[in-house]
Amino acid sequence: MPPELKEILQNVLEVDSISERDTPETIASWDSVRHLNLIAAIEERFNILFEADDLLEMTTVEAIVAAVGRRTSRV
Amino acid sequence: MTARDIFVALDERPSISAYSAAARQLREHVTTLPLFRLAILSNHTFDIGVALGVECCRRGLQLAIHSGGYDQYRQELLESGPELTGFEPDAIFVSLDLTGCFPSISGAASARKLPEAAGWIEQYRALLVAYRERSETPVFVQTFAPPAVDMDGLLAAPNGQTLFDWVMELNARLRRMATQVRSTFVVDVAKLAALSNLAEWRDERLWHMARVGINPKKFPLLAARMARSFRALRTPSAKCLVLDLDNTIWGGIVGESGVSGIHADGADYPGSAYAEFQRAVLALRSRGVLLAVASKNDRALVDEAFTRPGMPLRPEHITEWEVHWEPKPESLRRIAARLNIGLDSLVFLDDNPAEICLVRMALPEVRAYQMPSRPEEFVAFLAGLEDFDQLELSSEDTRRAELYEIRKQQAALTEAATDLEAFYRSLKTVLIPEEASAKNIGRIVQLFQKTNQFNLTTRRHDRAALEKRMESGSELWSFRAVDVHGDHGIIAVALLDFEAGSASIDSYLMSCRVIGRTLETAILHFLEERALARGCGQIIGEYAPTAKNSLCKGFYQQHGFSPSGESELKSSWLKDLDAPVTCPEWIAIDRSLLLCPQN
Repeated sequence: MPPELKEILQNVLEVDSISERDTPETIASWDSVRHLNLIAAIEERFNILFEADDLLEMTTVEAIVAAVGRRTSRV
Repeated sequence: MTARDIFVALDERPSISAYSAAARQLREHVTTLPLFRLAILSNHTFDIGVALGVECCRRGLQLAIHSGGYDQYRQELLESGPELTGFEPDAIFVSLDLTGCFPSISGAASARKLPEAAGWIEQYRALLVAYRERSETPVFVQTFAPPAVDMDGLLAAPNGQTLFDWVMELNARLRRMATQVRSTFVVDVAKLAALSNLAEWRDERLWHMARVGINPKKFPLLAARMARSFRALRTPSAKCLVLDLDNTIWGGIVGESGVSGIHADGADYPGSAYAEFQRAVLALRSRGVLLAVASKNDRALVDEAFTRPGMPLRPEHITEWEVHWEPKPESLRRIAARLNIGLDSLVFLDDNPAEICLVRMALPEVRAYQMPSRPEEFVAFLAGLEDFDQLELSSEDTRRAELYEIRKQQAALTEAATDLEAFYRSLKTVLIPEEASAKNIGRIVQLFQKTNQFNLTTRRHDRAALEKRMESGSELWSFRAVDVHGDHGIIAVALLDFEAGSASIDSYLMSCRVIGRTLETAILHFLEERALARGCGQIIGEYAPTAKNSLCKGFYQQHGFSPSGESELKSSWLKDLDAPVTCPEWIAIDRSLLLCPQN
């Protein structure tokens, strides 16, 4: 996981550590509204825009890492 | 990390993630701040809490949020549920999305087919009035950001209106409506959206996916604007703007280039930019901010410079002058003393970083700011100073500079008069008591928030609290003073409680403009008269010392009260009442207004 992405996830989800195995089930603050802020924060930091397909998939840390990887590698 | 460091780091690289990080770092700092409980009612997905918490903390408030149910704002305003009521909010923010209110209005709309706005405004008014009838909690509403696009093409509707015009007219109606509902204030989201790039205000993707009405990337900006309003609800605004002259009020150094060499007027840059700044300064003055000058200069030269035709700022606009070569902290101290206001009521502007540094060190209470480097930036800089934020203006505000002018003349008179009583008599002061009503409550609340020196208990009651007290039988009195120099407006306020044969003075405060004229005794006479009229055989007073009110420390003792208790926070005073304290014979109390039924 890129360190910048890890930092964003920890900041926005208000947790001290996070791993690729985490999901909304393992992190209490990760509700649907917070998820939207998370997406906006990631897009802002990496200067990318996710496609609708990405957004539907990005429901775990692992999927978020993958989606960010896809969008940033196309630059 | 200090809170200051956290904000510096945040402002260097603001982002959603950085705000989240700052919110976590500020957690331990925020607990010392006074709590501000905000209920948010909205008809779209609006999760601004993190950014808003940070911006409130920056302005000295600890935010607690209660979010009402999605699109439940009508129900909550009409009949607040137990969750909202139990939360006991200090304020309510109603955030409405345009499409949420008008389903046919979005970027896909055209001006050829628009709904009726007036009816919607009336419905909204009814909701706000219904809430106001149950609660005095201040309510903030917002204007609507116009859709960034529309389907008008190059056309307008046959009446010449575009979709954009329609939304802006809706906003104007909303503003007018809000001024007519008590304690209801507007946060201008439309202007903020326009300033920050309207096309980005809404993220269409997030709107369609999850009804997110405002792009979360814009939350920091909106949060700052909201927090500004919340602070203005709690904190009095600065009272006096102290200005340097050279390279601040005008371009150039008058001592070097002479009166004809400075840039202060005309159609040419940079003179025109300085003239524009002067007009902005005058706009502040018309909002009740007093103007003063603190400049290291030759006074005669400065006087000559102020005679230049075409310079918007005139000598008569300046209430206090400190033009000499002494240190500026000394000038600021004198200005505050002569105006009878605290140093923390002063904002000082200077182009010289050394002067700013010196003032900040010597007088940390003064809010000192360095001017931007280019004069064309001055107006935006002044407009951005939150120190002058006010949610409401009273008629005293708009006349304040004039009132101080009257007071200055009086001070000159006092110096001339050898016999103090003769001076008091010469003023022909008339004191006009009036019970609080919708007409004067704005000024009364303002005095509660602003008065520091003659303020016996410094209880900062807000409008809601005062109205509650009056409903439960307390009397809230305002006092106007008129003398040979003119009408001073409402200069004092007192809140009287009555209980089992005794009256107690919860609050008694007087504007520093009229200190030293024995008005305080005349007002006490009136209050004791009220106590007797209500059948009270004794009257109780309290003095709670603060850093600023030592002036009235001996007030109750001097007026025949005996000490009846003392703690660290306050002393209590008691007096048996047969007759009210003697009113000074040079003050006439005009009771004619008391005969008129209120409201």
